[in-house]
Amino acid sequence: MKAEVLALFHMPQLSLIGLMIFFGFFLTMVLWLYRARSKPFYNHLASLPLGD
Amino acid sequence: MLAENTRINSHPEDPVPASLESFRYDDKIVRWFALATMGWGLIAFLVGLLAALQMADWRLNLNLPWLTFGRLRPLHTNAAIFAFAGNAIFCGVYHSTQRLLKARMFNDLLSKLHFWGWQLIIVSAAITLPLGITAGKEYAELEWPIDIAITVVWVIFAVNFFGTIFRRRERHIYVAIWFYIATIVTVAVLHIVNSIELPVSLLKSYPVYAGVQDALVQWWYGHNAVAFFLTTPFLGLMYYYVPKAVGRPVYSYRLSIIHFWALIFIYIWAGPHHLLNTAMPEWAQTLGMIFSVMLWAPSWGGMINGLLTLRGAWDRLRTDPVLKFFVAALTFYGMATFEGPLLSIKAVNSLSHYTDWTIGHVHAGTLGWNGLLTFALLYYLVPKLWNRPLHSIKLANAHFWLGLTGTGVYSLSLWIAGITQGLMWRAMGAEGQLTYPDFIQTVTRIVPLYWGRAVGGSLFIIGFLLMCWNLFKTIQGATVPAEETHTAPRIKGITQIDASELGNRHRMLEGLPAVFTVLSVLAIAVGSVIEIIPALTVQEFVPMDKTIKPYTALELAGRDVYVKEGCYTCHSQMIRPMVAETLRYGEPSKVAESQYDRPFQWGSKRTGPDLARVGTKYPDMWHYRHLINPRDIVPQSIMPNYGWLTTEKTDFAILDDKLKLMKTLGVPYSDDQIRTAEADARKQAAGIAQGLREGGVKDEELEQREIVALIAYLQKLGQQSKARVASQPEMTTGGVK
Repeated sequence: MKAEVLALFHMPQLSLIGLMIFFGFFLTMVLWLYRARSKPFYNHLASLPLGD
Repeated sequence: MLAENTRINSHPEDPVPASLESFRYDDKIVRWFALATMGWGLIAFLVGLLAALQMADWRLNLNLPWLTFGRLRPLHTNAAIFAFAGNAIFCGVYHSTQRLLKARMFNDLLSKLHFWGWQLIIVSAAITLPLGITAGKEYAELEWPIDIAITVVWVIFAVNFFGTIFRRRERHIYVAIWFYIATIVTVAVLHIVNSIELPVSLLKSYPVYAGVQDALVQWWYGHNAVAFFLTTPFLGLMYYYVPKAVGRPVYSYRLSIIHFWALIFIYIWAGPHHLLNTAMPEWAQTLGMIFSVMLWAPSWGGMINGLLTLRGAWDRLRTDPVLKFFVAALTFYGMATFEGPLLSIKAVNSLSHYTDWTIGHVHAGTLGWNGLLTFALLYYLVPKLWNRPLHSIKLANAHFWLGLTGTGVYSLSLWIAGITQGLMWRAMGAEGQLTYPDFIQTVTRIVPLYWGRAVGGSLFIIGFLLMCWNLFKTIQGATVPAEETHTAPRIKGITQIDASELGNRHRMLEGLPAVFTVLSVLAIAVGSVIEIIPALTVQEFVPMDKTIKPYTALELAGRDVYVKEGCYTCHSQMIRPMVAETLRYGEPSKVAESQYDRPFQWGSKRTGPDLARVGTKYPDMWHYRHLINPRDIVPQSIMPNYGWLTTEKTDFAILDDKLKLMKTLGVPYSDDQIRTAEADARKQAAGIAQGLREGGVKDEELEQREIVALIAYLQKLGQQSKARVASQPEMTTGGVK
C-alpha cells in the first residue's frame, strides 16, 4: 500500500514546504501576538466577561 | 498605536457619539436549557449505568430487544453527547453570548424553535434507537429523517447566533464566541458530509460511502464530534465562566488566541487515529498519529490558561464548590488530552485499541471534563437565573467528591481492564502459540472490573442526583425574576465597521465575524480536504477488487439485522496485521474486503471476538444455538440472548429496492439479480433452514426468520477473501508492511 501510494507521489518536497508554511505561520502569529505594545489591548479584551 | 487601540476599543471614548440603547436578556430560554440538561442527564446516565451493569451481568439485558446492550449503547452515547452535553452547551451559549455581545438573542421564536426542535430530535432518538432503527455508524446512528431535522435545527441555531452577533452592542468578539462560531460551522460541515445517505425506506438508508471511505469519513466525523461538540464549545464556556466565577480575567488572552487557532487547525486532522493498524492507507494513519500528538500543545495551553486564571484565588477552592468543579474539570481535560495523543501513537494503540482502555479514556473526558464543567455551570447559573442562593453548599461539596471519586473509579477500572485484556490478547508462549487462545478467557478476567466501572458510575449518578435535588430546592418557591433592562452604547452596524480604522489586525479579524468565520472554516478545511479527498478517490491508490462479489440479497438482509442489533458495539470486523491477531483470527483484513460495506462495520470495541473471518468457521447450527443462548456454546459468555431473532421476520419484499439502491451507489448487481432478489433470498434461506431443521430445529416458518438471514451474513464474512488471497497473493498488503 505505502509503496503504491508513494509511487504516485512524485513531490515529497511538498510535505516539507507544507510544514515550513504551517510552522512559519504559527511562529509569525506568536511573535505578532506577543508584541509588548499590544499588552494593554489584550488586557482590555480579557476583561470583557467581567464587565457584562 | 496603543492609545489609538485603547480609544477605539473603549466605547466611552469612541469618537463617534454613541447613543445608549436599552435591551433585555432572554433568560427564559437559558432556564429551559438548564432544566433540559438535568432531565436528559439523568436519562443518559441511567441508561449508561444499565449498559455498564449488562457488561458485568448479561442477565440484565432482560431478553428484551429494546433493552439489549447493542441497542442501548447508541442510546447512551447519543443521550450523553447530544442531549446532556448538547443542552448544557446551548444553556451556556445562550446565557454568555447575550452578555458578551450585549444583545438579546436575535429572535425569541428561533430560540424556542431551537429548544423544542432539539428536544424533539432527542425524543426521536430515544424511540428509534431502542427499536433498532439505526444507521450503524458510531455517534451518527440516527436515521435520515432525524439527520435532516438535526440540520434544520442547527441552521436555526446558527441564524439565531449569527443574527445576535450582527445586532451586538460590543464591538469585540470575546474568545468564547470564537469557540462557539467554530463549533457551529464545523458541526454543520461534519454532520452534513457524514450523513450523506440514500434512503431505501422511511427509516432505512445506506451511506454513499463504502468500506474504507466510510471508515475515514465516519471517524473524521466521529473524532471531530468529540473535538467540536465536546471540546470547543466547552472551552468557550470555560473562557467565559471561569473568569466570571473567579472574578479575574483569563490568565492570558494572547494564549487563548493561539489556543483557538492551533486547536481548530490541528484537531480536524486527528480522526484517523481511530483506525490505526487497520487496513486504512498508511499515510492517513501517519497523518492521524502525528496531528494527534501535536494536539498535546494547544490542549495543554488551554488547560493551563484556564487553571492559571485562578492565580491569586486558589484559597477559594476550599469554600467555593463552583470553582472546585471548574478546576477538577480542567484537570480532567488535561489528563484526557494527555492520554488521547498517547493512545494515538501506533505502538500504544496496538495495545489499547478495541479494549476498555479507550472507554476509560473517553469517560475521563466526558464525565470528568464535560460532566464536571456542566455541573459547575449549573451551580453557577441556577442561583442567578432564579435569583435564589444555592440551597446547600454542603450538598454541592458532597456532589463534588462523589463525582470526582466516581469518575476516578470508573476510569481506573477500565484502564486496568483494557490493559489487562490487551496484554492477554497478544500474550504468546515460547513456541509462538497464543497463551490465551480462547477469547472468553480474556473476558472473564476483566468482568470484576466491569463491576468496578458500575460502582464508579453509580457514585457519579448519586452525586448528580444530589445536584438535582439541591438545584430543585434552590428553584422551589422562587419567583422567576423579571427581565432586567440593561443599557449599552449603540455601535455601528457590522457592515459599517471600517476595519482599516481599527488599528489592530486581530481586532480587524474578530471584529468582522463573517471574515472570522470564513477563516475558521478554512482552518478546518485544510485537514479535511487533505484527508477526505484522497479517501473518496481511494480507487486510484487501491484498485477495487472485482473478484469480490457483493452480498447476496439474503446476506444483505442479514447484514442489516447485524447493524440493527448493534453487533458492531461489541464485535470488530478488522483483523490488524499483528502476529497475535493473525494467529487468533486469520489473515489481516484488506481494504477490498469491505469495498461494498455500507455502513462499514470495522467496529471500535471487542467485548467479543473479531468476526471478519468468522464465516464457515462454525456450522449454521452453532450460530443458531449461539444467538439464541450464547451460554449453550460458551458457558462464561456475557453476550445477550437474541431469542427474538427466531420470531422476527425478514422483510423480503424490500430486497429488490435495496439491491437497486446499492447498484445506484456502484455495487455491481445485475438487473437480473435485482429482479430476482426476493426469490433468490427465499431460496438461500430455504437452504439454510433445511440444514437447521435436519439439526432438530422445529419452526414451520424458519426460512422467514431474521436469524436465518443473519446466519447467511455471518457465514459470508471473510469467505471471498480466503479464495482471493489464495489466488492473488500479491494483493494482500493493504495497510500491512
